[in-house]
Amino acid sequence: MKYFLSLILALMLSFNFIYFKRISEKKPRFEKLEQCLLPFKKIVNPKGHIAFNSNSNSTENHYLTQFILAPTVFDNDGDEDTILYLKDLKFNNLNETHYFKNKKIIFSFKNDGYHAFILIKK
Amino acid sequence: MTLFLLLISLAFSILIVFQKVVLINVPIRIVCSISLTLLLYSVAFYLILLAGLSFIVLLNFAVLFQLIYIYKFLDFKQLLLIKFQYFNSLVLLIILSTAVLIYQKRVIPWGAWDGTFIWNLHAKFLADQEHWQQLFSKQISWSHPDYPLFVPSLIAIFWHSEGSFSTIIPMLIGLLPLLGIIVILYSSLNNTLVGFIPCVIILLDSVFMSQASAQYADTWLAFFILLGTYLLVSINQNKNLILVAGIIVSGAFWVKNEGLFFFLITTFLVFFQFKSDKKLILKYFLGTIILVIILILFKIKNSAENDMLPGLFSTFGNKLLDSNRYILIINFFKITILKKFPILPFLLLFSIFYYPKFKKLNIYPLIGIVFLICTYFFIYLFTPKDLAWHLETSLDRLLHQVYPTILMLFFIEVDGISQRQPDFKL
Repeated sequence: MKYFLSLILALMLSFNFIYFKRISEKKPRFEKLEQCLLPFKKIVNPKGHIAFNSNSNSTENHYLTQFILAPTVFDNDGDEDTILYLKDLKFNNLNETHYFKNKKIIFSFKNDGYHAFILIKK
Repeated sequence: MTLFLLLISLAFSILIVFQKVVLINVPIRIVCSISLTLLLYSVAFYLILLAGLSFIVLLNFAVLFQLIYIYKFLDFKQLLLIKFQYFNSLVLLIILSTAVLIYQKRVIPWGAWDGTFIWNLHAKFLADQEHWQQLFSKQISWSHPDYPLFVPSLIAIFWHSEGSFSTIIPMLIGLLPLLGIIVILYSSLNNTLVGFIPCVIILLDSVFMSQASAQYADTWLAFFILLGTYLLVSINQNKNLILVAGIIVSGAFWVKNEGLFFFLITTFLVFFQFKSDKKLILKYFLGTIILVIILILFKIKNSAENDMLPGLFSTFGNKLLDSNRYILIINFFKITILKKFPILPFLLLFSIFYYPKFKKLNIYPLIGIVFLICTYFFIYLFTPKDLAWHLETSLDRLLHQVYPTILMLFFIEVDGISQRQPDFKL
């Protein structure tokens, strides 16, 4: 009985681990945003002060960006010299040029859902 | 390699703690050893971050010391003599497998809202030894940086050791309290059938299982409340358990801020219950002291200001005399219990009917739970947040935290009746 129980336990643990591995490989809920922002992980300096602006006015985008790029801290709608500007391609924003005025693009990345930029003040 | 070393170190610690914690009930002894080890690692990781030491170097030293300790002091013969009840173990394995399957069906990478933006986000900061203090920045105050670090630090230990942010780690850590709750509910009762019922209630409860799969810290708190209560109920069997009970009860406030209320109420009741036995109280106090110091250190050194405290007692008089607030809170309690915890009114009716047959051994833990719910009631009464929103977003989670303990206390009494009257049927 002791060996039978140990065998069941071992089989259960292996099966569950494989199953959990499969679940963890599922696409994340915010896949497109993650794809677009991950290249920024190498660019942004976690110690720098970075403002976050988005054209979709979505607070959730700010939260998600903070989560994807942690431990860098973003100041939502802040007025820092370095800005991460996120363009949600579903939305048109007529005031978009306002974000780029007097700023220089130092890095950008785009996919079919988002276009993200790192801007610094000229 | 570091992850492998961490797993070895955790296994050694569990083995050492297992030998020290003398509990007759083997499954609960295992659960207790695992939870004490996790508490120890969580606290140690926080202290390492605070001191700016290298976690990997210290892990190597820990494994070395553990090996020496095991070689010198661990009595393997005694460990091999421990007997399992095979039928009960098999039933427990089946129940646990079912729980894992349900959990796997519901869990999603990164968890629900609080899982992603509070617990896993905090873990992402803690995993970075250089920038972890940025977790307490004002810019992310929406993420409640004042919340204690038990769950984030556990996730961060594994991420830090693995060197990547794998989603499997928070998923596995979220599963542990659910399994722990089931083991305690099943094993705390002598009658296999009576032990089976609360487990089935939990597994069939879609609200409870959804909450348990959301990767929130509430299920961890429910687990600590349950284990702490079980240990205090078992004090009559072994008085040395009071030290472990002290660690577990104080562990509750290292999981969530609400755990502080559980700790204060339980400590008050322990002092009251054992007032004639000063040695016992001293042992309990010794058990709590480490985590009390850690919490004070955390609140002074790192924690941001709580979002509730500043406005909690503003317009105190107006809120106290506002009957509409009382009516709204009572209505929310009523609706939440009937919709999400419909078993609770049934348990209450059953208890009233069978009250004369109950042994009433567990009156102090029950008083503790009632006091805890009353405390939550008054926090809602004075909350600076919008009352309806606050109730809607948190009441079900507060009840989730005490639900397994209520089930255990009820079924211990039912178990007592079935022991004294073999012909007793539910």
